Amino acid sequence: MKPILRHTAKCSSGLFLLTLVLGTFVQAQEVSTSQILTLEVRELNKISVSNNAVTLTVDQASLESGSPVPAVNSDGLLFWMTNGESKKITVATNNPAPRFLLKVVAEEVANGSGVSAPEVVFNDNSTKDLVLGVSKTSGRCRVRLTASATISDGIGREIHIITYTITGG
Amino acid sequence: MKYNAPILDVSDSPQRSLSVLTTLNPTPKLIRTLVLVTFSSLVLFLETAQSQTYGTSSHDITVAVSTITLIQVSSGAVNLTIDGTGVAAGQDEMSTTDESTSLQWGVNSGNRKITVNTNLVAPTFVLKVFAVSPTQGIAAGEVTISSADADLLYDIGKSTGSCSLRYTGVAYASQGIGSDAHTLTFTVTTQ
Repeated sequence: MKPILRHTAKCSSGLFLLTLVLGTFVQAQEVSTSQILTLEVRELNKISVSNNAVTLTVDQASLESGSPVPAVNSDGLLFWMTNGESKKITVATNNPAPRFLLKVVAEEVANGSGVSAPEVVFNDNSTKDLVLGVSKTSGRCRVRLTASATISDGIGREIHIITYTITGG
Repeated sequence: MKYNAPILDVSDSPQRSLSVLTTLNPTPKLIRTLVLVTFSSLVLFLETAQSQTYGTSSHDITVAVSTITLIQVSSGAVNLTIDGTGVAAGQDEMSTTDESTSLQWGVNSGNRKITVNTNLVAPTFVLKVFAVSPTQGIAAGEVTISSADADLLYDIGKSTGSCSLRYTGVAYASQGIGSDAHTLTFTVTTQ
C-alpha cells in the first residue's frame, strides 16, 4: 500500500472512532428546560346551610302543663370549611326584639371540626357563638331550632333571618 | 541475388492488396490470423479513442447529523392561587387549575420521552400536571409532581411538537395556608 493511502486509512479509522464516541456521548445527553411555578393557598372560609327556609309552628299545648308545646326542627345541616386557624361559628337573627322564644344549637358536630357551644337563645339581634374551636378543617353539624311560646304571648307570626358566620375565634 | 519480396502497401487499393495476397498464396489459417489481428487492432484503437481522459480528481463529502434535542416552555413563570373560587363549604379539598403555558420540543432521534420533576423535596400542597393535546407523542396522564422524574409524554421521537400544560394545585383545609415555589424541570430523555 502506498504511504499516502496508508495515512488516509489511518486518519479515516481515527475519525470514525471519534465520531462513534462523540455520537454515543451526544446520544446519552439529556436536554432540559425549567419553569418556576408558585402555588399559593390563601385563607379560605366557607359556610353554608342546607335548608334556606324553615317554618316552625307552635300549635299544640301540653295537657299537663297547659303550656304550648315547643316546635322543633332538626332538618337543617350546617357545613363549613376553613384553612385558617382559631375560628368559630356564630349565629345571629335580624330580629332585635323577638316576641316568641327561638333557640338554636349545633348537634352532631363532626369529629375534630369544632365543639358545640351551649344552646343559643335569640332574645336580641346580637351575635352569639354556635360552634367553637374551628381550625383548619371542614365540618358539619345538624342545626336544631326550637320555637316556643307562652300563653301570654298570644298568637302571631315572626320572621327571622338567621345568619351563620365563620369568624376569628 | 536480389530477392523481390512482395510489399503490402496500405496506400494500395484493396484490389492491389488482394492481388498481393493472392501472389503470397496464403493459407486459410494465415488469412484468419490476419483478419483477427486487424479486427483486434481496430477495436483497441476505437476504445482508446473513446475513453481518452486528461485527468481526474475526487473528494469525499461526509454529511453528519448529530443528535439534536430541544425543549422549552412558553413562559418561565406560572402562578397558581387557590383563593376559594369554586370551593364548597364542607369539603376538605380545594383546587385550582392553570393552562396558560405550553411545552415545545424538537427531537431528531427516536425512542424519546419527556419527564418532569420539581426541586421541592417536600411541598406542602399537591401539584399535578397534564400534557394537553400533544401534537406528537402520547400523554402519560395526570402526573403528581415530585422530586423524582415522572413521565409526562411518551414516544415523541423524531418530531417537533407541543402541548399545553395544565397544572392543578390541590390543597386541603387541614394544610392551612402558604405557598410552594417550585422549579419544574422538563427533560427529554431516552424512553
